[in-house]
Amino acid sequence: MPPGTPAVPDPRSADDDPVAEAARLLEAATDAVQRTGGNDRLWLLLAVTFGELPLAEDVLRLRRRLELDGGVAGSRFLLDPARWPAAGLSAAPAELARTQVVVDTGHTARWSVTTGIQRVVREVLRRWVPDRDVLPVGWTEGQACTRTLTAEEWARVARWGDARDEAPGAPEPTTRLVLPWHTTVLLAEVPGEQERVERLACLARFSGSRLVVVGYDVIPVTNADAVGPGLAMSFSHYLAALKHADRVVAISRTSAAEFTGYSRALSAQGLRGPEIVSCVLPAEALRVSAGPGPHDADPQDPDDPGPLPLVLCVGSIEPRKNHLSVLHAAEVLWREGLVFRVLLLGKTSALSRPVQDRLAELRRAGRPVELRTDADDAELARAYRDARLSVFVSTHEGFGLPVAESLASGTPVVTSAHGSTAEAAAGGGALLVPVRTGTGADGAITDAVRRLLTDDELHAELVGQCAVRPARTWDDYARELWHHLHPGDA
Amino acid sequence: MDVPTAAPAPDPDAPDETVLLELLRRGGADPGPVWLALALAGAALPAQDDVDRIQRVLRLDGPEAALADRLLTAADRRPLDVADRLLTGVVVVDVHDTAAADGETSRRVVREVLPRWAARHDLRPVAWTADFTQLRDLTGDERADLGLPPPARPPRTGLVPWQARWLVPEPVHQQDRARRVVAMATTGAVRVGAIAYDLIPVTAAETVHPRAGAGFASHLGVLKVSRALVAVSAAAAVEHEGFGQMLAGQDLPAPPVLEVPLPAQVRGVPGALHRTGPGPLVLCVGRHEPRTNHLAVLHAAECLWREGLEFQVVLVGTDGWHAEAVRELATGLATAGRPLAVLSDVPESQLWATYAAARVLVHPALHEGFALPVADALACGTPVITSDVGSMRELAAGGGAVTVDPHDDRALTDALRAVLTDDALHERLVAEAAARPVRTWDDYARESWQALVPDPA
Repeated sequence: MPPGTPAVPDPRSADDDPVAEAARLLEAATDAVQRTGGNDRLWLLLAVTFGELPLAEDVLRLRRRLELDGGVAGSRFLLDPARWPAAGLSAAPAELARTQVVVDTGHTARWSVTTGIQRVVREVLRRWVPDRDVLPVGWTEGQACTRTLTAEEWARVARWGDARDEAPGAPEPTTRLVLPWHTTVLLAEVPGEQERVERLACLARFSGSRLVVVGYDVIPVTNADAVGPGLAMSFSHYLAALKHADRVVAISRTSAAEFTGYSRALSAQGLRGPEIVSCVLPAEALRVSAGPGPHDADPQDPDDPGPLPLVLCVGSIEPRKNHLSVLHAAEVLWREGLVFRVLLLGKTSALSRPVQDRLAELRRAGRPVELRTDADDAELARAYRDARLSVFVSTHEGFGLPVAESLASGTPVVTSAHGSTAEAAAGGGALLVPVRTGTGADGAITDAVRRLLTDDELHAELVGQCAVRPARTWDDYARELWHHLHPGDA
Repeated sequence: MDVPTAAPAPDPDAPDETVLLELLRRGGADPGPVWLALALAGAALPAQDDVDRIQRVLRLDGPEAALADRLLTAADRRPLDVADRLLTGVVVVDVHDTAAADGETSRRVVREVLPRWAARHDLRPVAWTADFTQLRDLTGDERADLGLPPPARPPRTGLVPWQARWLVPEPVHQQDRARRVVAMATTGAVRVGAIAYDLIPVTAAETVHPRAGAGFASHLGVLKVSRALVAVSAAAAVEHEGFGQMLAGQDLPAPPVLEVPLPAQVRGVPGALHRTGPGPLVLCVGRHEPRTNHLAVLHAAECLWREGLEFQVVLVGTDGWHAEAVRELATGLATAGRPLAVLSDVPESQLWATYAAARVLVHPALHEGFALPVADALACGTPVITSDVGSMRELAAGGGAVTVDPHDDRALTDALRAVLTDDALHERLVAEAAARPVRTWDDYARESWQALVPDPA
């Protein structure tokens, strides 16, 4: 038992009235917590009593109540049914996580969808789970408390992509609440739920645990027009949790610069802000088999030109990705008489309308252009393999995964000459164009695509550069991120 | 980006069709004339998407095709009326929200600064139509409310700034308004300069209304395209420099930040004083929300009442997010007989009287771009207990204040006890407050104009 742990009366001395006895126990615990004075113990007392990760306002309220009126008032505060969770006090068993690295997989465990963020969580965990002291957790209904995963959730986070393996260390059938206590908590998702974020912020501030966050980008606040005001709002709450984080491990140097700006802004509140380090995401070619290749020109048929050269554009259909610029470049080149087709792979949303309208116009005019919104990894891998080039001219990215994936697949890229896309392209295989808001880059994009379609020598040179790019793997990333979880290892 | 376009202003006597075609002919390489054509001919000021669309039509199919585009079709086109609507080279000041917003620092700043700017410089205060699609002059009533003389000409709707300065003295919370300002700036129709108050909805979202971040993100879009951010304190300057650094991934230059601190000047004639009972008055002014930390003030007061100290507490402020927590605690204390009052509608003259009569203003906020209550109290010669962070620490450095860690309840209680019981300390603080250098709204109006409009527009 560590020094300062609340001294709890011997339960064998309980009298006949369990309610009165419980109240006495609570009073004793509250008194003991008050004597030791630490916010971490207040946090724990609230967590254990309510079966929830506490909110900061409750920690402060209990602290003030104790200061004014001592343990009796404190236990009354805790026993006030008005403060209990809507579902009543939790009967679920709880455990303290004291040494394990607790990994918040609230979203990844629950949903099978694979965004870039969930990919990071899964790739990292499937490498850590076998031999690191790590505990992936989900959240209870209503985002009140972290808990162990169900077997199904466990399979989702730790066996993803490799269903033949037995998941090592699969949990028991029933879930238990998990209260991280003086340990390290990793947040590698970007939660939008205010409750969850507030409880994580309180944990970082009071529980004695260190919160380490994988930082992707700050797009929702610095480029709100690109994402919509709803996301901007939930993201500012996410940022509020980062205030008390120990460290942000950014996925690119560009993203690290952005988070450094945020951390610096916090000094206006007298806060030190999290330490910012970068640990660049890897760029591995997709593992899945790409299947049969495109049909080759039939040498017996002089009229079969073979498939049209493919210009590939991977990324969600939203203004920030600059698809209208790419479609403009394509139209200019089609009018010049070049022969190629364009494939857009990406999810659509309410922000996709202008691009969808333009696609419809081009298709009506007979242009070979296609949008697929539901491509799986196999189709994505096939598209990268078959494409003559990728175009990814986003105005703002935290990492620029399509650039990295395309280059790792041996397909040259036309991409933006700034930020994380320029970083991702730095090892060779890409043509860089200056990209800004507006149409100023249209001409440069058109020129770059034209060169890669018509200049076979240049194309071959870039393909050659792709082949000799230094490989960075998920193994590298998982190992380095693990080291970043521990103090002093920046 | 945001380089004023070199395109000349259109000829007011030329036929509309000729003016538009001339602008579109220049518009393939320069987005400015395209913006102007859309602004003059359309029913709404254009967004960036509209400008991009016309520029691409221009490049593919030429000016005649652009003129036939749905955004410029003759059927919907309005008369250009260039002579009357075009504001070429003017300093435009967007004060749309000032009459409506309540309790914001920006509201006070606009009301103090706008009449002073208008008296010395040529400027055009404007507001937006209800749907934020068009610019209009202020009405006579709005001008009078802001302390401006009656308009020289009848107010107009459909104003179009061109090669103009665009001043943003208040946050732009409306997405449609912000988007149109951004398009003006990125196409070069205007150069934007903004007063930079704070980034609280982004850097301290947990202390204000959860929805605050939604509108504020629109405002950040405007700050991004600004050529000058005039920060109200050194802390606000650091915060906005941090924001500039957050733009690294977009390859945008960080907007230049200049620090022009707000003034502290007693205004109005003190009126009747509000008292809740005998004993020295502890005053607390500010919106009831977690950011202002009023729960900590009430806690400290209760600790001291239990010690037997005699004093009264007056909280002046409107309800913000989570105000019920403050109301609940205050009601409990008042019911238990503590001399405590929570006031929300205090006329300005009475507020000044209360500042002057208070023994101390307690303002341990978690974050402020500029703490007006601290500045106001000190200007009245009233000692202050405030936070040892950011802009509050800056204000305190000028004398008359005791600073505490706003997260440390005991430090706050100790400071309040000391100021209430230690007459020598209190006298020293009063003397320091009286000796503070006076900084007036005239000073601020002059310096902020120089920072926002560095050379004659």
